[in-house]
Amino acid sequence: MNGFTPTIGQTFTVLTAGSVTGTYTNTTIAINSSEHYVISYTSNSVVLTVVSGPASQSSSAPQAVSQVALATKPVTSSRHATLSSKLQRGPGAEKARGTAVLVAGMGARSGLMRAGGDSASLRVWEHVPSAPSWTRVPVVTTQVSAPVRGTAIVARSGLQVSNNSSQQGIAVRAPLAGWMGGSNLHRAPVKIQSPSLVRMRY
Amino acid sequence: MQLAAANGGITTNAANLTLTGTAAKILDGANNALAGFNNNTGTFALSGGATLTTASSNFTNSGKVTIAKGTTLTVGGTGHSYSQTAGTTTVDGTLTDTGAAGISLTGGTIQGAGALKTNVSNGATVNVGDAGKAGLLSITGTYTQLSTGTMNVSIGGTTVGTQYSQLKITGTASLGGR
Repeated sequence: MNGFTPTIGQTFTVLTAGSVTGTYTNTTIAINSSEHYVISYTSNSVVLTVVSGPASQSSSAPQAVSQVALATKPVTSSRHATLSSKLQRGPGAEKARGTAVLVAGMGARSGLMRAGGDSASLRVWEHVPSAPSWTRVPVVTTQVSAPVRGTAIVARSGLQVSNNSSQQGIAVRAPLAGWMGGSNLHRAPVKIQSPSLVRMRY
Repeated sequence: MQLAAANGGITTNAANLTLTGTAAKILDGANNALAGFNNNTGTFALSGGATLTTASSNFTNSGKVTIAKGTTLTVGGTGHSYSQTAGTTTVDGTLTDTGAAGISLTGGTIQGAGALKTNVSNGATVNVGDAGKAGLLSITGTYTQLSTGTMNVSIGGTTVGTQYSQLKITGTASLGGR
């Protein structure tokens, strides 16, 4: 009207009432090719909000302003990733190579992964580390007067200690049935050589 | 203006009839010739502070009714409605229905920046503001927009009432249509 072009985010309360029930069947109103109004409702008013983009075809289900505004928010960064349906063709699909995937909940930079790329690339599931059954923990050697104490510590923790002298540290394995006993695994005896005692540090 | 002979007055206007001024009236003998006016198929207008109250029955418009600013058209009586099946009613003044039957719009357009002091049912088109202009149209009562109804507003700035249109309703707005 009169050449007026509203700016994005402007709102116009076009109806006020003691109360408002029902909705219009259209959810958007066209302004031009780059803007349109979105219709929203409060308990006592109807508001038009200017959002970017051309008006979509009318739909029967009204949407909240924030939802529509989010859905029509333009992509402004060249780093912004897009979801490609080509990824569904499997990792061997040629055209999927190098396609950027934006992982939900991540920033655009941190969420970038390559799918179906060269041999150095990893797929999503290949990023997941496998849990080693043996974990190396540091050990210290100290002088103790009662070697029995070291044995008692190992027994209470339920850990199994392997005295593999070819590796640094001591490999520790959690019993499959849990950390607190109940396992039918054989426990390797710990040989304590006096006056040195192996102590675990948790 | 006075009719030449008392004949029961005018019930249907198919011509071009305008009342201008606060004292304007058409007499049928000593009586108001428009007291039984209930059907407009032509052009009827109130201007210059004129007022008219009808009382005999429902008022039906399928032509053009203009209620200028400062004028009032009252549909009196009990349970009488203002019904429009086609045409245009422009309300920059006041359209009142004392019978509380309300305004029933099944065709044509009601537009303007005045006051509708009754319940409104819109099954056709309501333009808030005059043609091509923003305006504030008030409804004292309820507003029901049917699935066949449309409400149009004009937006030419950020000031309500003068630059963009607003429909102001005292009661409940039940919305449908577009």
